[in-house]
Amino acid sequence: MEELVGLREGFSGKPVALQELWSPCPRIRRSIQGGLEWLKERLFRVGEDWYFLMALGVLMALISYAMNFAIGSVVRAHKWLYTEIGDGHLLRFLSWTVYPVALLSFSSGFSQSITPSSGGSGIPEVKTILSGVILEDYLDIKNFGAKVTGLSCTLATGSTSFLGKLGPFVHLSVITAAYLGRVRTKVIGESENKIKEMEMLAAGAAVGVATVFAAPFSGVLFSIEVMSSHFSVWNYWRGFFAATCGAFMFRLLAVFNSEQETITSIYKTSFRVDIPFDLPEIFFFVALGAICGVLSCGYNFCQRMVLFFVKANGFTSKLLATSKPMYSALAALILASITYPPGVGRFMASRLSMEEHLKTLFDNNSWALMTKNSSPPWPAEPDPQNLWLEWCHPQSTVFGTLVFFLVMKFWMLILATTIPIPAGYFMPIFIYGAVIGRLLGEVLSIIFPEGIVAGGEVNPIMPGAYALAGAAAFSGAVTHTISTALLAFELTGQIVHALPVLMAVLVANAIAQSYQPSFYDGTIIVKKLPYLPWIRGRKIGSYPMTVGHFMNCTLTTLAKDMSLEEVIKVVLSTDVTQYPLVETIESQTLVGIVKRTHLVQALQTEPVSWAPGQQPCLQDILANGCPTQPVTLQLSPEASLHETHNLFELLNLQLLFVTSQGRAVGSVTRVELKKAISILTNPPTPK
Amino acid sequence: MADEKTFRIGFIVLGLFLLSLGTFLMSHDRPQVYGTFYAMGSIMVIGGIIWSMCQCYPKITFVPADSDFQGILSPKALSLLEDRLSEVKSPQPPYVRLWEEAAYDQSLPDFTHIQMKVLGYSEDPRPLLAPELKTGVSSGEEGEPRTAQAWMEAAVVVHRGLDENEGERAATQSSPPAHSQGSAPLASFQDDLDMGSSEGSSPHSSPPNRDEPHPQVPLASRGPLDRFSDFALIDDTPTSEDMVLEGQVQKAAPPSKQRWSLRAKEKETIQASAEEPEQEEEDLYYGLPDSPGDPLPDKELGFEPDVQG
Repeated sequence: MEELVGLREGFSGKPVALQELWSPCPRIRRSIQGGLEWLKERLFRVGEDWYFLMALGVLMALISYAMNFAIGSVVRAHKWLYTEIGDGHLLRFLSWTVYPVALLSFSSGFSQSITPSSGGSGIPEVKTILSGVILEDYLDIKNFGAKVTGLSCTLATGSTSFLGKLGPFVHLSVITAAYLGRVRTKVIGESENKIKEMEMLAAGAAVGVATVFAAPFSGVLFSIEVMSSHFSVWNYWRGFFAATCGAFMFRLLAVFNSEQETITSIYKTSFRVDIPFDLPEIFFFVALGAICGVLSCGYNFCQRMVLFFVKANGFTSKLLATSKPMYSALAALILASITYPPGVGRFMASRLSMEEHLKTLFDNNSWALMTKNSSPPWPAEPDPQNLWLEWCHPQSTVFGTLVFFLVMKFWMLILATTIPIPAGYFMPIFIYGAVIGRLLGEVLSIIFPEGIVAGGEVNPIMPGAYALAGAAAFSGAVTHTISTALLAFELTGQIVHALPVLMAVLVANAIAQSYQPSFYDGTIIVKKLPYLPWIRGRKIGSYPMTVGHFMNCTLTTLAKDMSLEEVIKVVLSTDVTQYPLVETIESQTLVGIVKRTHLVQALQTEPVSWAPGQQPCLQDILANGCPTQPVTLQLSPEASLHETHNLFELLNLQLLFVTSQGRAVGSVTRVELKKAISILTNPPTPK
Repeated sequence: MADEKTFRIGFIVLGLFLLSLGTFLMSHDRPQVYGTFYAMGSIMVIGGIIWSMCQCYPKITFVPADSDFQGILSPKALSLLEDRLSEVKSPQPPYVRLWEEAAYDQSLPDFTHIQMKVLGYSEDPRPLLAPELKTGVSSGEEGEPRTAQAWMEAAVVVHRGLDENEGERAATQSSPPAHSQGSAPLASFQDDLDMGSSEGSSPHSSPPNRDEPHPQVPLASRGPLDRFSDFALIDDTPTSEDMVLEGQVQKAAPPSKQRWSLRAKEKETIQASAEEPEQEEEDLYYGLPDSPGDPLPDKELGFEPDVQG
């Protein structure tokens, strides 16, 4: 029913809904409302946004910490079960594999049953939403529960599935940001504002990344690089504020739980600070960047091909269509069988969790040198003091383990990305890059046991630094970002390797961006999300292209002097949501926009009192209360493609009409823009 | 509002989440930590529950007429109302008539003609509202005294309008105005009904014409007893009707189609009551806007919509 309003006696101000006026205990209610109004006035003097941003950051930190806590408990339980189950091979194998199979299939089934779009990383969809496209129901609050449960179950499988937390957590924080934005609109009492909504979503994306790693700087910069095409400096402040609140709260909770004494970095390293590296090592860092770039091209290409294959292949597509949990269970079985520690998993250090992987890889000793002469025994359980021993195998040395890890994890990770579960894909490629760097560092430390600059002081090569550079370079190349360098420093608290790491990242990005779309762009391509692509490359001749070349010329206009029968015919025969309103049929001067729903409604409630002898026309319908929107922006047919693209992206537009000397001649939507860009980049072969 | 419901639920869920997190963070050397979590969590849960419980008030659907509100509410409220009512699809005339009926209900406890539906609430709101109107003093129910005032104001306006009409009639017709004071609104029964219906379609009609039919419409659809008292007055003054009717015809000429439909409606409402329908049908044909010297063709005209409909 419509909202009816009334005024309190003696109360000047906005009329309130009648339901509120007639509610019980009016005096208490009034006093409470008065108190809340006073509080609102006092608090919101600084601007109400900051409180909601702080609430967003704190809330996401709490959720992230709670998830980590729950996941840690499940993983500990699994480890206890595995160690306590005895020595029988079958039982141990079952205990190793049944856990991931059950958890992944439950995660897949649960999240898919609530929302089918909850699988995978959420970052491509968030990227599309932040560029102005409206993806319905993607930010519903019911996706929240599905994603939290699914993500917790996925992460509880640990390094068997080799998946991370970033993507779905960004989605979760954007959902929370949208929700808090609605709370804010209600508290302030103003009407809906699209721009403020978008600001809140952008801050939510930044908070998501920052809270996962407890790294505010790299979090904000990563979210800008990955998810926004245009970013206003105003959003910069908001993102940083929210991200800092979130990161601070996250680290504070770790202190409260007596896990740490004070707020420090997650992965502590002990690199040399005074002479971290020798100057010639920079060449090797850059070479590492190039290697990571080439590998990342291969990774992106293979991942996209496998996704297409899974969709096209009869067996897998049928399995995915009928029973997603079955597919997840099969994939989990394959992954768990390979990572079974007494079997092949021995060569992949599969008993380590994801965090332990990183901790060992950033170790400042050179394993090759330490294990050159002696080969330590393989402990029954991972030794917490010497976790790096997991990487050492007596027959195949450290090198064998690392190479085997690289080869196997390449296709295992791609297989894991096809499973329809909410999972993040950043941490696995970070670890993968760290292994690449570690391998190069170990090779170098074998080749130059005394360090590169001979004579004088001996500065042995630190493979840990190479692992750091490799991690940053590979992950940066796969996601087409540079802020992973900063992330590496924030995670370890070590900034002494700033320049070599940054150079490695730049070289890797240069190679990767020339040949392949990024990981998230690849997902957008595969899922066919309605994202407006960049106009890449200056050589494709995009500058001379104007609106007149690609606009939609078939435009159904409604003239004010059209008769009602013609209007009804037009409305019934076309299916657009809004019609351009022109002055007369001859002049076609664009004067406004009429929404289809309003027009249909006005036509249905047509009053009977036409004066006899007068032909009713559209003008009368409009005068009788059909609302029209004014045209605020118009394109000219001579506007360039770049200008139009910028307009659509900056202002989050959906539709623009093209007028030539006042006459409405066409319309441009994102569909036409996308088609124009695709024709430019892939020109159709002339027949 | 669906949004507020999600906010309430979210508030309670957040409180429960804080409570559970406090339980997990329990460490004996830092009691202030989980103490804070417990405190915040329980405050939020309790606050959310109280807020949800206070949402149980009667859901009353209430149908006003926007035209009457225009003079009373502030422009902001007017624009708010217009925004909301512009989404309403149904045509205006029935609401206008209902409101006018309500405006002239002198017997306050009887709210049946205002379509109030009480949904999902145990208390009966009428005792709460009726005494408010009776006393005219509000202790918090703000809409009611305003609307009561509106009704009073409208009644006053009507009488003024009648005076004006009287004066005009006297000027044009030079008939004795003495006896027409009481009977003038009742004598122009049919025309006023027509005016009342045309008001819905053309809200910009002149105010005196609009105010005049106000006493007629509610009287027409009141209880049968009231109707008979009005008809008794009509019987008293047969002579002045024609002159009044001529005056009415000169002032406004509503379309004939609406007259017929209204007549049909009037007939239906009157035929619905069981008491003496024939007498009412005869009474209907007193105030015919056509030339008074030809009752028979009008009777046939009057019957047409009944036959066709």
